[in-house]
Amino acid sequence: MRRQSWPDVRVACVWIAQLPLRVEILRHPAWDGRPLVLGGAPGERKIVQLCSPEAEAAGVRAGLPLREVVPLCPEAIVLQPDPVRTAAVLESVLADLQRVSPLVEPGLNDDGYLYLDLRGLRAMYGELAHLEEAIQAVVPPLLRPRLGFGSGKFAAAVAARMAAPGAAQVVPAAATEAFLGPLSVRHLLFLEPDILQRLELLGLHTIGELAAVPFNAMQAEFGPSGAYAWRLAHGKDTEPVVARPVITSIQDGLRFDDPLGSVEAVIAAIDQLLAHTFAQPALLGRSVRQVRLRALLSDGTSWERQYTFKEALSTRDAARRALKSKLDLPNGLPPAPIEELALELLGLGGEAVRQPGLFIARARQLAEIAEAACQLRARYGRLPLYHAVEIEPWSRIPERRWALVTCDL
Amino acid sequence: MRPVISKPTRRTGALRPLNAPSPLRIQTDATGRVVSIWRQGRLTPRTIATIQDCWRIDDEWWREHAVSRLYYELVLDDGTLLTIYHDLLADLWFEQHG
Repeated sequence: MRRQSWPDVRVACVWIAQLPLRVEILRHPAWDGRPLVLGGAPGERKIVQLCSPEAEAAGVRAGLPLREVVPLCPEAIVLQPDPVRTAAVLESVLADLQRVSPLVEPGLNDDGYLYLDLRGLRAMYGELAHLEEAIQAVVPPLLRPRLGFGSGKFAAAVAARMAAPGAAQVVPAAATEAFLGPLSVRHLLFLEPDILQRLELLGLHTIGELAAVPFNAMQAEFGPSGAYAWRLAHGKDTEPVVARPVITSIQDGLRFDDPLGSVEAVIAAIDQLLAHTFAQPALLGRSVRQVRLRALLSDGTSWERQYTFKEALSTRDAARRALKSKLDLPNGLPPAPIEELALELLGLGGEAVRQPGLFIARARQLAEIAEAACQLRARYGRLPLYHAVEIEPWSRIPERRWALVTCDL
Repeated sequence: MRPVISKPTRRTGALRPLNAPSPLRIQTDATGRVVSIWRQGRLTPRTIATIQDCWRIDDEWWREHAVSRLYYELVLDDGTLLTIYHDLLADLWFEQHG
């Protein structure tokens, strides 16, 4: 596609394919080009979660039992997940990209996608090539970032997927439909597998074939997902780039000369961290709903857990008791001695107090339900509570009589 | 015996129906009589001990998707009481509380 100085593009997408493996290569540059395999963490299923193209060439596939990796590819390097370092690298790249564009949105589930809003940046960079250089300059080359520029997030993400590692693909707004047309509907990653299967059964294998179906037919057959897919196929992507919300947290960490191996030692270290964090002025008169523990382990791997308390806690002792009950569970502690431990308090709110009453059983029940709802929302990010309401109680068809609606508390 | 695999029509929207039917696999004998059922998520089929009741619902015949179901109230070999129905239009089987 011929480059103009600044084609009509609104979003840039930086995609780091196989992020956990690229992070390991960043730590060990000599591993670049060698077959890498990511297995399950201790306690998880012993299967291949991710493998590099070199391992794939030897016949290794995701889902393969780990014991079958070595016979297939004797030189494979089998790694354990390192969520702490992966998150730290992604966080660092995101922070650096925020110097290129003020609006940067990380993709869901740390899938390696980062979106930059390009509106207003032309005055600063002049040419798109200069912006591309600025992006490439802040992402470590060993991560092999792929860049996509498009009129919306979807087109930019697909362009990034189609770009070669370390290169960029530009899809101007006017060319979006023609660019997407020949591509497989499997690029519509948000569609559920059964919808993709139904699309293919209907003979709609490419995005262009999907675009040729009338809008109302797509909406009637596949609901909101179908309507959204149709709009994307026509290059109508209005979804904005949303910067990640700033989450206030308080954190502290410890490094140990002798790695901590015993439960008592870990609990003591956590108690020390809780003492430091709860003593910080920012937490005065406030409560905590979540705590995140991150550890770097002596075997070179890392460990991360996030716990949500059943109620907001405002004292160190209450947090210690709640955390100890979680750590005492099987697999509650890291599988190897801890070299570094960080504790982060999240979900800060007003101070939690309790005032028991005599004749307010109903009100107290509602308050307890509201409290439980807050805890569920903090744990799952949405509220999985519903009211059962009568719809057609007279219906002879059982599923028409009652329905669940989202509960707003 | 002929196993039958069925799948309910998916409904989307803000309302989630309660008591939605879940698909069943059934096995019939040579005469076409249902002799055992295989409930979703179970590892083994269960044999039907007795059929306690049977009723038919024909409704919404004026709509595009009419409803025609033959319900059975069954007792399984382990004593479980269960209601299933045969979607006569789609020739599929579902479990649903009556």
